[in-house]
Amino acid sequence: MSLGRLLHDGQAAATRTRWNNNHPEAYHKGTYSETILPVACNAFYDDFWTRLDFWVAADNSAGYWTKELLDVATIAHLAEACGWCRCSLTNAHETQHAVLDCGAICTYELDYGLQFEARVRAHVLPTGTSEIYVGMGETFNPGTIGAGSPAATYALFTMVAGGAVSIYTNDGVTVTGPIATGYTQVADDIGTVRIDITNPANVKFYINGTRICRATTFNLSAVAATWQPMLGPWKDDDASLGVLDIDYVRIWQERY
Amino acid sequence: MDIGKLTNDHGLCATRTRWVNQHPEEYHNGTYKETCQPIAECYYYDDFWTRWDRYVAADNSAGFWERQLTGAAPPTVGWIAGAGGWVEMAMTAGGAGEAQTAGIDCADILTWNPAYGLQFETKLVVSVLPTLVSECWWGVANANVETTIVTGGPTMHAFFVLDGSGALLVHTDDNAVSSGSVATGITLTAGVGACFRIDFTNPASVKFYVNGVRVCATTTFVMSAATLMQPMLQCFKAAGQGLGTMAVDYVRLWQERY
Repeated sequence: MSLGRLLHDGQAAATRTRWNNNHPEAYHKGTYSETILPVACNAFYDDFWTRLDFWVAADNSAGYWTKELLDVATIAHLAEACGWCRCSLTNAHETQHAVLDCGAICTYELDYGLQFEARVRAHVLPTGTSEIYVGMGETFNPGTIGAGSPAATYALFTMVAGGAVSIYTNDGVTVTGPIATGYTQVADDIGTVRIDITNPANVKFYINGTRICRATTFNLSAVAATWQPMLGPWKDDDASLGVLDIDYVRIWQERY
Repeated sequence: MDIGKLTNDHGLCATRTRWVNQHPEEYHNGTYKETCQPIAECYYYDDFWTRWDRYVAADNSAGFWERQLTGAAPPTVGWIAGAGGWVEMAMTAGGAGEAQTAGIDCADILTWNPAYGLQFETKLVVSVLPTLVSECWWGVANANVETTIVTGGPTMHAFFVLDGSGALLVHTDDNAVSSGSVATGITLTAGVGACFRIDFTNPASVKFYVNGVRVCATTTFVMSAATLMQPMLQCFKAAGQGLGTMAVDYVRLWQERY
């Protein structure tokens, strides 16, 4: 149900409001359907304006974010309009990952109407064994996506060589995926992805505001663990590539 | 256009809503007309609650803000414990009338785009008004250049400026067109705070507000050629004598994403 369009001097404004699962939201009526202002008790937002904002010390000793880095992979701020975070693999023949998470501090609960939204682009599409993850899960456990990796339980947008975007979920017992979204990423094309866990028994996924994989029921009601956000590329011991750019991350849920 | 007054069970509420340039905002209907909650895609807000919030290492190695400090005397930039939390930047008398800078910016990481309807708002108090060669300025700019604003400064900037006194001026420069030392008609009093806003909805006519009232309305401040910017709040003096201290209560910036 829409709250109604906000009007300005007789014209439709870009900013509008909507009801989404009992919560009012302001959103941008554009290509990406960005949720501007979720009205929720517990809301996190990082736009990566400068030097990874909330994220702090080079040694990962403080801050909201933690860099999960193996070998010469890098995570760094990208000074473009609006600020970005770049997670990069190199072509060195070695296992690498460059994943941004909360350092295994998992504080988000699936039973509280958890919502995850991020605006991302693959600056370098995955090649070979590389995979790019965007979503949420338990403690990061690097490896080919499947049972136990990249976390014991998770809900993720994934991208593999060629740019095909799929959905994977894992409730700790059953891995559901890869479920093809029908989207194939072109390098540097931007998309807003959203994971809606209003009902853990039927988790919904969106790209640019359009629901995808409708025919599949993603049931995560068995997940008892709390989660953290998880974004970045991983590869096995070879020369594969993959670079993920993150414009913003928003996460919100009820508190009780 | 006013969206309407928010009411509660006991009458009118201090927080109200308004439209500004196609974006709804919540604002406080008091002296300062503070924008409480702009509703825009990109949004930054720092209230300096404790120990610099998002500003981080003592060595300036990380965080949203970076301290700019020049001078051996030395000038200072630090958090101070007042209601709401503040960050204070102060110049000192200094030996031999040295040049000094005490300010904060984003380490020349430029990510704010004037072409995207950029808005800058801050509430601050100038506790020691600039004297002699001292200046204080606040607004947005490209890379920091430590020179006097009235003759130079960053090649692109939009600033409120105090130059050796409490007389409030506006300076803009987009590296193509400059408008300098335009008097607002307002003289700040030491220790009395105010809310300052710079509105880039139309870069060809940037607007400046003090406590919600537009100033310099007869001047067209052209920033059409401006590229990416950062927030910048600074006390500065060239070699010579002068003082100046200002305390910043909060900084908000917002814009569209595309």
